[in-house]
Amino acid sequence: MVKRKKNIQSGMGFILFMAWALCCLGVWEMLLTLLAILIHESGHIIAVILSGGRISHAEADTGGLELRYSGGSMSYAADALLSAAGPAASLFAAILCSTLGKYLEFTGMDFFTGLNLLFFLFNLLPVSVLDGGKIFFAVIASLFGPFAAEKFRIFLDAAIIAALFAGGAAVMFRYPHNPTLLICAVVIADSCCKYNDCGVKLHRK
Amino acid sequence: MPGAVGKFRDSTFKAVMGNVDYKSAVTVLGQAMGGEKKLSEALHEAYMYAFSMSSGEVETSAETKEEPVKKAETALRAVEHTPAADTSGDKTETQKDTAQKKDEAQAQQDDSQAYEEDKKADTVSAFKESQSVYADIALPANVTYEMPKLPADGISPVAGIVSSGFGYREHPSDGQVRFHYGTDIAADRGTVVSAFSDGSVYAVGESSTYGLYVILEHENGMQTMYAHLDETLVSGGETVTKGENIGKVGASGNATGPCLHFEIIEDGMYVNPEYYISW
Repeated sequence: MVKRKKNIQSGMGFILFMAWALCCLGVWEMLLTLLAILIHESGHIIAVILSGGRISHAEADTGGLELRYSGGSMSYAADALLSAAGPAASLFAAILCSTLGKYLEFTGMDFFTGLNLLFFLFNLLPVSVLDGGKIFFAVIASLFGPFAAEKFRIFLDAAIIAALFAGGAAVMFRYPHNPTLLICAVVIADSCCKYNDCGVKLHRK
Repeated sequence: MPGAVGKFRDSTFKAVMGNVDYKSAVTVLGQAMGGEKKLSEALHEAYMYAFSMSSGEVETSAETKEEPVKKAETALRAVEHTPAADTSGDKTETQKDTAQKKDEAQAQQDDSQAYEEDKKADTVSAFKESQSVYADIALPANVTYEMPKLPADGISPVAGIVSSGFGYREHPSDGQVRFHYGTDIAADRGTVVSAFSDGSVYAVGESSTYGLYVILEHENGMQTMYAHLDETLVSGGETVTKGENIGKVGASGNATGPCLHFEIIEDGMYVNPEYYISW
């Protein structure tokens, strides 16, 4: 019997990411970034709980927060909904902040709104480590079966990572000292290689 | 040791991050969500902030006013220098005379400071008045119309005529109202461009909008930018002194004629260069 113990861990990658955010954005913006991450992951956590499951393990690393859950509904539809919960939470936060921003004077409201919007859009990329990839996998698997979905997933991951690296190289050539896209490509490629998925890792036990 | 670590961190950070402004890129997305900007414009600005210069290449656009827009023209001059206090006197003056002269000098200095403050307030007011026709358009997030004290005095980088001032304007290429993050100083092609004040060369580059440009970094992180050059005379990392030649006036990029596009960024905010230069 495999014992899985409840724990919350933070990898070096996550610490490095927050340090990079601190350097590039500043203390206040780093804290807002942390809050936006928590909102996103809270969407997943709430969805897991509402589906009758429970979180057994959480690990923060470069590419995001890896959650393991047990129990709950066992279907591709449930997987898709659980994966969509995170981006939905980010979108909800973005809409809420943009509405509140019209009535409240709050330093960084536009930044926080944009951040949540960015998390929503970025996580919908159809890469297996991100929520969009998981939703895509669940949809394809329900239509054509898991083997076809797996082939699609590998092909799409390779295509998107290659495109990001190519784009990153083009950006570095066009705008010297701009590693933006390259950093994205490295993070996503690293996450894909290390865990085979990231964001919310939905493991059925 | 801490200083060396700080310098290493700064040089590494600059080498890695170059000219990116993620904060502004994310902020404009938020502004689009709140309806302050059109989505297409916000995406364009976010792209420019994240992948290109974080400064004036990003021209925010605003809806054209229904009423005819008055053209705002200003010719601001820097605060004039006041004459130095006259401290010459009899060599055999008494202590009382010395104290009196000190008091007079202090009073004169106080008057000069008050005069300087008044002139500064008048200068800022005049500029704000000239921009009042655009009062219903939100100021970009990283811009101030105030006149903060710069860490060092500077000189005009080139002698010429202001062809396009800082602030909102009708863009010369398409007539759209956009924010102009610097001052365009018209001068003959090939005129030498000088460094505003002591500093080091932060970047030398080229873009479709700015053309050939040089960015200098000065005391306390203040930055100045010189764009639309025909030629640069410095390279990255070099130390420059106030008045040193750094380039030549041209019409590269989207300039409509030979001019120098000059920007000042103090504490992360674009300020009106015309406050600080005179010609």
